[in-house]
Amino acid sequence: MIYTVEELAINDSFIAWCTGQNEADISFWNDYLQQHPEQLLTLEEARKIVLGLTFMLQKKQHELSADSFQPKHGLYVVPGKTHTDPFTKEHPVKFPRRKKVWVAAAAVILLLGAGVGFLYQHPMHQNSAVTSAPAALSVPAPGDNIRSKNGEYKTLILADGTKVTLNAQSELSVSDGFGTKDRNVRLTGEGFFEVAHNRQLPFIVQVAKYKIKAVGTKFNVKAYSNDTYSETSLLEGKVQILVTNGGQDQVYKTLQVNQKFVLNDSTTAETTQPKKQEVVPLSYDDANQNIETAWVDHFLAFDNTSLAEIKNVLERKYNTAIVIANNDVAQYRYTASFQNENIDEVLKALQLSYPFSYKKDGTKIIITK
Amino acid sequence: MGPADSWYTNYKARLFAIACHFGYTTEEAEDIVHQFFLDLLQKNLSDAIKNPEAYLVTAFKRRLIDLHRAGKRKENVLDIENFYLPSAQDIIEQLETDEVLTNRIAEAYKKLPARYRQVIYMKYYQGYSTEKIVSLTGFTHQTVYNNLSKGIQHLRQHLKKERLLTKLAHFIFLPFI
Repeated sequence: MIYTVEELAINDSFIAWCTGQNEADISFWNDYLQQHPEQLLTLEEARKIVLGLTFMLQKKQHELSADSFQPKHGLYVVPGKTHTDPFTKEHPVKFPRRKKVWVAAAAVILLLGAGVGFLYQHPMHQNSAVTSAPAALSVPAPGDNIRSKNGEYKTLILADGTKVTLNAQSELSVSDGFGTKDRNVRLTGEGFFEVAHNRQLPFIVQVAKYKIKAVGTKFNVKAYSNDTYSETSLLEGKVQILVTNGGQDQVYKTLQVNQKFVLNDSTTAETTQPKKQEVVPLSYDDANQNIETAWVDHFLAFDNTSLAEIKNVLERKYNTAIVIANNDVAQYRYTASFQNENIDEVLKALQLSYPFSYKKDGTKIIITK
Repeated sequence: MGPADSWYTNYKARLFAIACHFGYTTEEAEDIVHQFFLDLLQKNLSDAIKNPEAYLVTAFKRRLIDLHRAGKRKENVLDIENFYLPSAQDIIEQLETDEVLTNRIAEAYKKLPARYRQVIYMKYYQGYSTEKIVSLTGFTHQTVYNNLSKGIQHLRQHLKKERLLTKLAHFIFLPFI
C-alpha cells in the first residue's frame, strides 16, 4: 500500500515516527521507505505537516484560545471533559523542552557513549509511566469535598460547567448552594480554573487568606498550606482579589490578564489584611509555556526557583519525601522545565546546572552539598 | 559499539531513498549506503554530533557528488548539492526561529471549518489517537477519519496558495526595490 500525504499525516503510527516516539513505529516507517524509496518526498511533506501543526498549536495555545467570544476563529477547545487532562494522552506528541539543562544533560549522555544523538529523539515516552496515578475525572455535586493525594491529579467538572484541574495534594470544597445560590468553592493546594461564564452568579474561590472572584475566565490558584506564599495567576478575563474586613468582602486588587497576585504568608492567621503582597507579570519560558500553569499540561517548570520550593513541588508530584540537609543548597535557584522525566532524571538534570549530591534512603531522598 | 550502529538502523532507509532519488537502481543504492556506513565506522566520529540526521544526509550527499565526479555519473552535481532535505531537528529549529512560518500555519489552520479544526486540535495538540477521538466526540470512525483527512488536505491547499502568493509578490516587487 502506498500512502498519500494526507493519509500519512493523520496516521497515528506515522505521527509517532515523526516525533521519534515508538521503536516499532520507527522501524515500520523505515521499512516502508526502504520498500518505497520513491515515496521519500511524500513522507517528507507529511512529516513537515505533522511537526508544523504540533508545534504551531503548542506555540499559539494562549494566543489563539484567548479569544473566547469568537470561538470559530480561535484554537479549537473541546467543550466539557478531559481535554487538558495530561494523563489520558495516548500519544503525547509534545516536543521535549529544549532548555539549557537538557543540552547539558544530553552532552553528558553523549559523553557516556550512550549514542543518544539528539534531544528530541531521546525516547521521552519510555518514562511516561510517571510515578503519578492517572487523573480521575469526577463530577462533584454541591456540598462535595474533593481531595487529591500526593502524585495525583484530578479533573473536575462542576455543576455549572466550570472545569477545575486539581494538582496533587489539594482539596476543593463545593458550597451547598453551588450553581443555584452561589458559585463558591474553597481551595487548599493548587487548582487551575476554567470558569464557565455567568454574570449573575460570580465564581468565588476562597483560599486561606483571601478570595478570588471571577465571572468567566481562566486562572490558576496556588495556595498550599506548606508553601510560604500563595499566588493567583490570571490567563484570561478578569478576576478580583477580595479580602474580608469586618465581615464584609472588599475588593483588594483587580488583576489584568498575564498578571499574578503573590501573597507572602506571615504566620499570623488572624491578620485580615495581607502583609507582603504584590502583583507581578506571569512568567513564560523560552517555548512560551506559561510557568504558573505548566503543571496542567504535565510539565514541571521552574523559573529562577529555589531548591526549597522545588522540593515541595517534587514531593507532591512524585509522592516522595525530600530532605535538604544543607541550607546553602536549599537556596540554589534553578530555571528548567521537564516533561515525563522521573525524579532521578529531574534531580540529575538539576545537578548539572548547580551541583549537589543526593542519596535515597528508603522512601526519602536526602540532598546534601 | 558507536553511534554509527543506531544511525545505521535509523537512517539507512533515508539515505537509500536519497540515492534512488538521484537515479540509482535499488541494488546500486543499497551498495552505496552500505559502503558509506562501512567507511563511517572506520572514522573516529566526534561525539559532539548533535544532529546526526543532518550530518548523515550532508555526508551522504558529498559521497554521491564524489561518485559523480569519479565518473559513475547519475544526475547533475548541482542538483545533488541543492537537494535540501531538512532533518526533524532542522524542521523544529526552523519552526522555533521563524515566526512567519508558524504564523502561516496558524493562519491556514484558522481558515479551516470548525469540524476540521476540532479533530486536528485533538490529534496534534492533545495527541489523541483516531480511536480516542471517536470515543470522545461520538462521531463515527469514518467521520473522524474524513474530517482529519479533509482538514489536512485543505491546510495543504491554503499553505500552497499562500506560498505561491508570496513568491509572486517577491517576483513582482523585488525588481523595483
